[in-house]
Amino acid sequence: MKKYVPFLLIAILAGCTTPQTLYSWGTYPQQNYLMYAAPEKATATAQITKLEAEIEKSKAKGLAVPPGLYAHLGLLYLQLQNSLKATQYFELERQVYPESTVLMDRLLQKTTTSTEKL
Amino acid sequence: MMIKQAQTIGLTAILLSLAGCVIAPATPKDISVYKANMPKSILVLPPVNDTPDVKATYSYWPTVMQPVAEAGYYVFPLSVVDTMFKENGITNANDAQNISHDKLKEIFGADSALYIRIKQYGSKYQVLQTSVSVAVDAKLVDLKTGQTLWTGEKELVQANNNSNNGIAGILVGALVDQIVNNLSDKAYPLSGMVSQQLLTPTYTPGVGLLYGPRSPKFQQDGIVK
Repeated sequence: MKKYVPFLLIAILAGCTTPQTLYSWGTYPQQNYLMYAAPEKATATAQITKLEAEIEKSKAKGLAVPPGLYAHLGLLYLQLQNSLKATQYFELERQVYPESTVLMDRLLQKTTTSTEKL
Repeated sequence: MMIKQAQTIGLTAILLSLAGCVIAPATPKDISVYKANMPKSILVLPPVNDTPDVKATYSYWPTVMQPVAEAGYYVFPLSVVDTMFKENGITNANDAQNISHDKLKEIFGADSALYIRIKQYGSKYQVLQTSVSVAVDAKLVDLKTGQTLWTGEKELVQANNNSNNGIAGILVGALVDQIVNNLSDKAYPLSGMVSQQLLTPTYTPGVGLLYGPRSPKFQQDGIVK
């Protein structure tokens, strides 16, 4: 009987989580939290390093990148004055998620006219 | 004998796993307007904070996007939304939630917006126990027609009860709890559970969001497999 206990526990836990998720989230939600709660732990550079590594891992496993993550990276690059990378990420977000077209077009337009502000 | 036992345990496991997802008996809601105006994208506006804890808005807000996206909708990135508002002089959640639907649609190109109010956030210190609670109200609004598509509310309370210890143990426990709560914002993980339970589609249509266009279960709400 005892050896079945772990299976029972897993079954209970499984009941409360979705069997499979649509996206590979990595630390993206936590980075958003840290950005405001403890900004020193989530600088633009630190986030980029972490999130890009996670995206590489997800892609290798064939998992989908969640909505907004590419655009978030674009914004981080914009904060580092790297408008080339920012543009690439905004375009990627628009391509993968056409629902973002209006917002991404707005960001792309502003990225090309000024690197200072959005 | 062994097989029989395994079967019993298997059945129990299945029952338990089902039970794990049932939070409370829920009555179905009218979902006709929601279905007729099914949004592809949801703009999560900064939650209005009705609590004394100034951290609430920016601690709760990041927990919303994951369950919304997993339900099958495009969810706009928080950092970009926040930056857009701030660059346009909108510096608090109240002002953001008072922007006209037309304007939100124009700026973000969103089909719908999620309006959240935080009613409770954080720790309540008492002598014998410390409890953490998070409570929110939410409303999904169609930005084309202004119609309310869905509403929901959720409250979770996590109490750290020290009743098994002697009186000295109780006092030490309460003190330690308070310190731990102060160091790591315990309401943040609880917020994640609140968002998850509030927004994740359930077998009861309208309790939780409906499955959105990006979900493989789109238009299969209320169907038990």
